[in-house]
Amino acid sequence: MTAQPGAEAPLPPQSTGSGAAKLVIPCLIGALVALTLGIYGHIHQPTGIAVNLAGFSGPQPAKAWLATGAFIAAIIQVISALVMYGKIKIQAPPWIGGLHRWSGRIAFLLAVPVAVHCLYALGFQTFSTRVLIHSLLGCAFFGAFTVKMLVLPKKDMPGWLLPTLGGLAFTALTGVWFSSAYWFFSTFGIKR
Amino acid sequence: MRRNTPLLTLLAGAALGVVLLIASMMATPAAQSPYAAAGTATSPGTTASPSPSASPSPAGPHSPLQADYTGPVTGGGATLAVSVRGGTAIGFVCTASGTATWLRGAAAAGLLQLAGPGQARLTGSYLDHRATGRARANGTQYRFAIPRVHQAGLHAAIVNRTAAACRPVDNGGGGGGGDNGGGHHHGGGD
Repeated sequence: MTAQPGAEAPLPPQSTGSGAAKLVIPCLIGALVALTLGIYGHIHQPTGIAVNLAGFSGPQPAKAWLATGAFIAAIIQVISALVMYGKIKIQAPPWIGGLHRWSGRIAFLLAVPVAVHCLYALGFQTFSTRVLIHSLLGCAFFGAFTVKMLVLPKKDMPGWLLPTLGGLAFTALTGVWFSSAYWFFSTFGIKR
Repeated sequence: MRRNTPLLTLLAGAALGVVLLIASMMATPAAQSPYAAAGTATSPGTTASPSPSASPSPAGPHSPLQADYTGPVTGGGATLAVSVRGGTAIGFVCTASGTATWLRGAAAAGLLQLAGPGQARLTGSYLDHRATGRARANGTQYRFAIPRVHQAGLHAAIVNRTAAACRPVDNGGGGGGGDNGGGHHHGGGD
């Protein structure tokens, strides 16, 4: 916990909420984020088009590569967190906190364009198990990530909370990656 | 760090998302890319969408929301059918000996991605009048450029995996992936 730099941010004391409320409100906001994404993806008529990245042959490979970048950053997240929590018995380098923060930011910011394309161009779909799992986990990832970001600066939280939230976000992202980018690469080959 | 950096991360991500969403909304009617214009507004029966994407798409490559395509693969040897309904595509590859491989997948942005048993797959693109791409079934690779058809019952036949939908082919299919999108298959009205 002490290695979490965000936890060191001196916030005003939470005089208004009880300990439970500190957790309930971020969870409600995270749930709202996940639901909003899912409902938007469901009611918005998919356009099939969104802004595209230069250098890729199409939106699908661009998304697959962005998602792969996010997934790699997320793996760095897990490893750096394990080092910070002393679960990997090495001398934690002084930059481990920075590595954890920046890999998290990169993972999140790489995932956002993928999600925008998914929700705007393709929508929340259920036509196959893979697609249903992908849609659900995609929304869940952003919800879990939101909760973790909101809980991170709060003090006096149980020690298991951040690892649990981080684990949830990582699990969701892993599922999202396997149900889309991995599927794409294994179906169409590794291509740009 | 005196700032609430996790919140800043969230806000930065949200801002990026909003910017990309607005850019996507602006890109939608422009229809610049080959993947452009899924044509949400031109499909009959489509309810009004709450987004600006409901504005009519201009002329250009156009991928219908609902369309059926069938014909022989390039070079012959198999018949192929693809039926697009919204974001879903189903289809089959039917060999000359009458073996059908049923496929299912996504149709989005004018692109097809279908898969089936035995590592069967179909990838390609579809426009108003034809669908083109590659398919693999039973270990054989195919290329196809098949016309849009208005065959009542084709979609249902694929849904129900009707064996009669898979008929042996006698058409050689012509050479090259040329445009065989006209012809008698193509009815009017779209």
